[in-house]
Amino acid sequence: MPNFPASAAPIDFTTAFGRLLRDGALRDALAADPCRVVEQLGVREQDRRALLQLVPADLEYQAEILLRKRLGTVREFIPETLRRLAGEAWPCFHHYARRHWPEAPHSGPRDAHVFAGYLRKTQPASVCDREWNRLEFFMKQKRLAVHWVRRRGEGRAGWWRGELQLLVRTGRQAGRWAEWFWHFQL
Amino acid sequence: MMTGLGYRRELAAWIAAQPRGVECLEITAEHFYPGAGAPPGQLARLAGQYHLFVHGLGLSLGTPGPLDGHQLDQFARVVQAANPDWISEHVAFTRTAEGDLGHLNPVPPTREMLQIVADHAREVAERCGKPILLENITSHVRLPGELAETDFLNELCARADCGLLLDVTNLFINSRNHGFDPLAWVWELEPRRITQLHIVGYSRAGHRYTDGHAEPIQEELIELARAIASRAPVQAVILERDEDFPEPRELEVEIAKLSRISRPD
Repeated sequence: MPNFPASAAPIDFTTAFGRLLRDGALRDALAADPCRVVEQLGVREQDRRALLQLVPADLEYQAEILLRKRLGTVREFIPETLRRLAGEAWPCFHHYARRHWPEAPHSGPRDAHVFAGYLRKTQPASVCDREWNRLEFFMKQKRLAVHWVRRRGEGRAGWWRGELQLLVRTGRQAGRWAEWFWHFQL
Repeated sequence: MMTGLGYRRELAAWIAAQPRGVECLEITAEHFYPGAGAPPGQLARLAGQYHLFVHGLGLSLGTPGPLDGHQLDQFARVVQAANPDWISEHVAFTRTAEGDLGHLNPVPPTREMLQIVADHAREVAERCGKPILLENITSHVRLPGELAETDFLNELCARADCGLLLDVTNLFINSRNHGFDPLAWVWELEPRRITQLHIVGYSRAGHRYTDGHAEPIQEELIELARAIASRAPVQAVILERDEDFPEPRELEVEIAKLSRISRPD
């Protein structure tokens, strides 16, 4: 069974449907053996028929709508990384997001942080260091961070641009921070 | 019938110029919550220029149990600042007891769910001191229940003493994806409940119709909306564009299409 253990108390349709929408492995299991999954989820007797009647392809598409919304939110935090991935952005995110669901609070930056971490392992060249540093700073609730970022310059081969990235928290709330860059031509 | 559009940050400059044909605005409550980035005083400025309606995305009326008190407080504060003619939310759930799903999902048309959504809708209306409209959503799954979807909506409006915000595009998309006649569906509703319409062009992905909110309004949607408006006391129609915002000239063309909905040939 995927991410959810059998429930101690019976769960209602909404809770079960929500679990299915969040968990790709659970959807796969439901498509393969619906009776077993509904039994293991511990769904209330009166809600079982509705779950057993779900069409797997339709359920998957409904879940995909939620994943595309998530990708839209993640894009706000790692636009350059997704630009580098180009046509691979959706397949990569889909592969990651079917297996991971971000928890609140800050589910948007948390999702972007975990996805960028996943990309650092699978497609390291795609991850923008600036964006990764920013997410690390925010999610680890640092007060101050200084990074040396090397970026390949445009134009002549072999040229690099270096920049110093300074991140400073400016208030007690998680969203209050400032960022500066100093650029160097190498 | 008033014509207008959903207020979006990307359209702020165009809207501030009070373009022809835009008589009302629908603001999304969540865009004006603390930390969402709306400039201070913006709601008051908009309220000074236009009729406003406040639309919610995240109250999750279909979640069993109590409403999220923090969300409801924030929603009520936006309503107080905007002083809209009415407020609206979806017949949907966006969270469960175990977490947030980030988007609208369908509720089963059962008598138990009827009571949950009706109670929540009444609570929101009472908390805000404004009439509430409930909106139909798109769904790629069809959930079985004790009631037909239209009976569910009629009974819901009666129990919650509310109106319907009929999303013409969502209805059209569902009718195509699930194979039913959208007009026959509408005629099963009580016409007097249909107070507002939403409309925007649909998108297509393979054989599926989707609500990307990024396309110009197609002619068949205008015809469907006109048929609805000919039998229901619709007071406002809102263009609900969220993506790929066109140039002002194209927006004006879209707004002009809305005026055709209430005008007989």
